[in-house]
Amino acid sequence: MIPRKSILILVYGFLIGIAVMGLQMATSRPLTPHFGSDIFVWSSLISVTMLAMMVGYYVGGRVADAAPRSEVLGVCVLAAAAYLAVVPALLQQEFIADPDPFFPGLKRSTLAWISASVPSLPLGAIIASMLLVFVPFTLLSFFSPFCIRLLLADAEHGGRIAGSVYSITTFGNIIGVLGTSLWLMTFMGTREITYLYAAWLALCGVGLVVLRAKATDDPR
Amino acid sequence: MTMDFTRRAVFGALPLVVCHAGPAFADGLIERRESQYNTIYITREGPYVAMLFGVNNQLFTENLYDPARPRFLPMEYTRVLTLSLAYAATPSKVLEIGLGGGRTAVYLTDHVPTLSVTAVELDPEVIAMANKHFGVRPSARLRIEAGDGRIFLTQSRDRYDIIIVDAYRGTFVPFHLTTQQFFILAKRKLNAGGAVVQNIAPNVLLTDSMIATLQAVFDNVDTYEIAGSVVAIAYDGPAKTQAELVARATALQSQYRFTHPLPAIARTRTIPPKSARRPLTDDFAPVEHLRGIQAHNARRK
Repeated sequence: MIPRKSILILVYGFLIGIAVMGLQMATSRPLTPHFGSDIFVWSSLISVTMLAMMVGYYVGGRVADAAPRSEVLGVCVLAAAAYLAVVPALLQQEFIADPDPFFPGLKRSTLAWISASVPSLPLGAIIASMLLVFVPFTLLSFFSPFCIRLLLADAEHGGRIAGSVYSITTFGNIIGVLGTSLWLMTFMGTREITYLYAAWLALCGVGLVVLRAKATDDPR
Repeated sequence: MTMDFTRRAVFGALPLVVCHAGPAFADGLIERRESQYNTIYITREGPYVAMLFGVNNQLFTENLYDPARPRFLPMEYTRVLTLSLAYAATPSKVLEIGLGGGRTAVYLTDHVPTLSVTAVELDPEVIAMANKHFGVRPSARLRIEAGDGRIFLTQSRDRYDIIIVDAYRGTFVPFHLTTQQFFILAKRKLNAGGAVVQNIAPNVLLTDSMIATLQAVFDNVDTYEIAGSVVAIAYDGPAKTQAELVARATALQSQYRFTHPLPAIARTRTIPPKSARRPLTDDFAPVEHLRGIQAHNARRK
């Protein structure tokens, strides 16, 4: 694969890294009114994120081996973006006449329903976190194993490539955490931030599809 | 809970010194307790016992108590909280979100024998400290619950005549206790003719936004500025005239003989104009951004 494509893939990794942690920060907000501000709300969200990464790395690695092409990864990122575009509807605000622009028919907050239906608040927070982030974060976690598979030309440089991928995506994570909590959240609501990152990821997904990068040993 | 932002003691310059020695208190430290949420200091301050929270090298006075004068409220803003009785048609059930030292709840139940108060406090250690050092004893008329105020309100099947919201956590109020959705929830748990009282420490909260939020939910919002703090009292229905409010305060005063006379407090009332600011919502309530908030309030002055 030519270096330009390699660099672009890493840039997408950086941008996706920003989105994942930015979304995690933003998702903590809608949980608090329904499950409280106790530490278990954060621990639920973090553990669900880790669970998504665990599943995403494992499954993503297998998908990457089966079809080591950036189009496939791009479609997975697009699917995550599509799911996230629906999430604000799940955050439908209670009581106030503030219908979701895309799902104006929804009147009841899904999270309020979970909080009222599940007797344990920590369990409710885990279920709510699963609903909000598990699917998109699993799909986005495909990125690292996929990226390594695409960039790996020979075993000799495997460590360097894997290290670069983890380093660049983690750098994105840092920017996502700080940028979202210290900047975006001072002037944007959770729903706007979620839509922003959904659009952001959709652009990354399209970029990966258009890039048409493939592993050096891919016969197609 | 918290209101007074003044630093009452000086922390050591080095973090290590803070860890080992803690802040120096002029009149003595009675007890220091670490909880999941706060570092709680119980100190002596002249004639008072003080409860302080230590956050980010600053101390926040939660409550003051004079053991020699149990019917005296040293913190001036808490006196305004008691004026809420004059707003309710028939004050018999009060919910207080944020117990702190608990002296307001005790003051109310001590003065009004027919009143019952339920106080919800997030931090069980704060409840323990209030019990140990501030003479706050649960009784048939003073129920104390540990938990999140909003979750309590959501799950509560009771209705209240007055809901007092005073839930500061060091430098900020948990955002979910500042939003339109929270106050709509509180309104749904009010008996007809009830009122919601919100303590706003101007150096902590975006005062205008809090007033805008209350105005978005209630027909009327009155404010009382006292000792650098703002207390907002919100209620539905026709606006009370000043004469009506003072007459009601006078009637309650002659019936219950409050240490801090209600009519004098009622006379400090201000009715703020309709705020143009964006109300805080569950979706958007950046209350943690303290520096921006402080700068905003400094410009407002």
